[in-house]
Amino acid sequence: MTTDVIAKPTPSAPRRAVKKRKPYRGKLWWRYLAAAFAVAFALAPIVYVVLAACNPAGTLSTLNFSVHDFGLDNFRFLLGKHDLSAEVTYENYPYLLWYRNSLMVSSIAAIMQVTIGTASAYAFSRIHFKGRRLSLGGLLLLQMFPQILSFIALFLIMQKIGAVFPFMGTGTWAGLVLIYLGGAMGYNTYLLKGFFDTIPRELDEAATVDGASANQIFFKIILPLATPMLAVVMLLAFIGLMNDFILASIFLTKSDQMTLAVGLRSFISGRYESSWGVFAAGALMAALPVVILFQVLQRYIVEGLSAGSVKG
Amino acid sequence: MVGIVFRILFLGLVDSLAFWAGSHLLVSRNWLGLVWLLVATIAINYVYISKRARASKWLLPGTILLIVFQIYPILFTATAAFSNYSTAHFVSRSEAIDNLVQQNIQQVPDSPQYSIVPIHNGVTVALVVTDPTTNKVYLGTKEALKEIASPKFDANGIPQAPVGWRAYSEAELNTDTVLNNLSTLLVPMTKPEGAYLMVSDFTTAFQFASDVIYDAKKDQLIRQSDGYVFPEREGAFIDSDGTSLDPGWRVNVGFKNFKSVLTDPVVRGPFVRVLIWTFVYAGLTVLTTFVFGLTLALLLNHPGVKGRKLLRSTLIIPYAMPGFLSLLIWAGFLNDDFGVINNLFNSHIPWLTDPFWAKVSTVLVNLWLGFPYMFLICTGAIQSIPAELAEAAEVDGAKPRQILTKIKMPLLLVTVSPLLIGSFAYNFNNFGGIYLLTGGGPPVADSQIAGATDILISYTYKLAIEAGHGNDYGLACAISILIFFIVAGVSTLSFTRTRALENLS
Repeated sequence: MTTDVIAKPTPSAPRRAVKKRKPYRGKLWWRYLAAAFAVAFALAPIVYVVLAACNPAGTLSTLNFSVHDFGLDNFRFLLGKHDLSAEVTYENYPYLLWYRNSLMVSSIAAIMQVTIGTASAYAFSRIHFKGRRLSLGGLLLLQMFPQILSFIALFLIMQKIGAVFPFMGTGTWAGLVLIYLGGAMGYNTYLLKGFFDTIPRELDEAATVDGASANQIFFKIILPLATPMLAVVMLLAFIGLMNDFILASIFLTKSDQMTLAVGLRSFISGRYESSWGVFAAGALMAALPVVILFQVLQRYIVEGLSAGSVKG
Repeated sequence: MVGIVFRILFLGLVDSLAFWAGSHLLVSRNWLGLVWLLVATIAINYVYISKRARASKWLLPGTILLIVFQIYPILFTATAAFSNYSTAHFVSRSEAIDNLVQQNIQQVPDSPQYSIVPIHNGVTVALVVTDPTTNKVYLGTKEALKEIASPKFDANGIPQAPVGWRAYSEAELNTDTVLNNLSTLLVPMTKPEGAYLMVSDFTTAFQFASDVIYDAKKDQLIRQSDGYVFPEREGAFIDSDGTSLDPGWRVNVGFKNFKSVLTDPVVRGPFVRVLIWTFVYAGLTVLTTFVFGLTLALLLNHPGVKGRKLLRSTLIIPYAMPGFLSLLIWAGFLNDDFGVINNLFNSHIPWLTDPFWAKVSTVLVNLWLGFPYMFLICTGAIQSIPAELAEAAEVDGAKPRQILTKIKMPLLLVTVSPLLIGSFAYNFNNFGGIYLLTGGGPPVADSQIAGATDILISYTYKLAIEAGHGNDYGLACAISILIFFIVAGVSTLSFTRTRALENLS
């Protein structure tokens, strides 16, 4: 049990098996060799990105890193403390603003997605209404239509919304949140329903006998029991939203409304090859919280993986 | 009690928001939006007041968002798939007619000079027009020119804006939006018929007329100079030399888009090539990541190997990195000229510019992105195989290799095969994996749009937005529908094998 949380080993197995396997110890070196190879394959690109980020003159081609080249100018630029050249200024590339936009979009959308998903999942799990199975199946089917392919319609809708409410029309991050919420019911309802189903029905039946309403059952019984799970689902939704590039890049065109994903790309789609160093630094700072969250939530992510979720 | 107070507060908030939104929609005369708002507001009020709608209370907010941002776009895509929706057929018929009339507009040679005052009512621009011959004063909007019965004049004898309208200040007039609105304003006149007033500067306007006019009674577009009546074909007017006038408009074309995917060699050639590569790409990705991940899992999931937890935390990193960042970074690494891979190995492999190597690159990068996933699920699957099975086989004299191939592998495949299908379905539509790495390129001779590494979804996306000779939304939407059926087929296979369907009951 010390090493793995992926699946619980069967109770009878472990001890004897460990003792038996001891004679193999002599042949372990090639297992470590494979491990070393895999680690090198996994980490080499990341090490390279770190080196490029710490090299102010850095491009993705330079190979010879010396202590002489080392510097944090790329990071200082991103934090708005140092302009790299006349064109590459903080004003043109407001990294911290993108960071804020990303955090806002992802946290607001994640909270609302989970709220909507929780409410729907409760209805699907506890209330028997007409067409329940049909709507669940329909929700599943809807998820198979890739949202990116309906972007023309989404674009037209956003334009119409924007004509009346400019602050959440095309090109605003508030509008992007709306688009993310469209998928809220499909994404989480299924997962959460499965979880609610594991909460014993006897609990709410007893409460009903005592005169509790559906609202009371939800808020006083189900919700407290589900809170840890909901927190995890929310954090996972947050990670997913932080990582979205496609929808964001279609809808966010103005520099001050961009999220990290869209903004970062402008460093390398421009004419300045030297921006690769800045891009690397920005990518590291953008990836850090996500990777940390991922490590912290490892156990839950692995459980979710076995249930069939695929990350983007 | 708390519930009732909360409900009243909630409905009050919703209704006041709806009222505020409705007033905006009313001012901008967005009737369709108003109807939708009304339906949604009534539905919300009914559901949260009525005692009967028990389930809807929990489902309504999500459902409204689902209808607006998922179901409607899908229906829109489905209808567009049967239309000629494209850059050349973007607008409605009446908008196309307006546009064609305006294209051919010219100043009438002997036009009198009208003096004007630009005004607005907060929403639209209009003109106060003084007729130089009769000295009558008119209100000119884009709908009509109407006489003002008893106009008021200021001290300089300039007519003032009628009630509900306001003249622009000097500063307002010089803003881009006002200038643009004024310069595109056409005020239709009744006398002479077919003529328009058009602003020439802030104080004067002239009569303009178009050579091409629309006869509303006969519903025909006519060129006055030679009396040519434009015939219509597939959503466009046809000129006397046989060319279609731009813009055309949207019309239903039935199964034409689907037919051209199947029969038109110009469309079918690239489509079949892209379809095959999509299957190869998704298949190879699943195969390579699975083999690598499985091998690692088998090797490292050994009680003698120390630091397995640390190993897993390390190997998970490529998977934890935001995918778009990894892809953009790899695109830089693989750059032919200054990429680090070629520099490091002192090679000159055209990673992204040669069709074959570009395909290799997409699979290779996907291997890096995806092997941790396979490593994790395979480790899980191996550990869930009861140890008794292997022990029993060992007692019966099975060799380690036999235990692996005859016992562990079959059991493992049962567990992971739904996940492999899921991974296939995901990579089938892995837009980012292609678009951010190669952009679908390098180009191939048989198509201006579909590159060597384009998969269906990136091909469709490019068809819709970045095609060189105009965007063909209709065709793109038709292919979207086809993709939906393919993915739904693959996914149904996957879902029937996972717990997803068990939850349905």
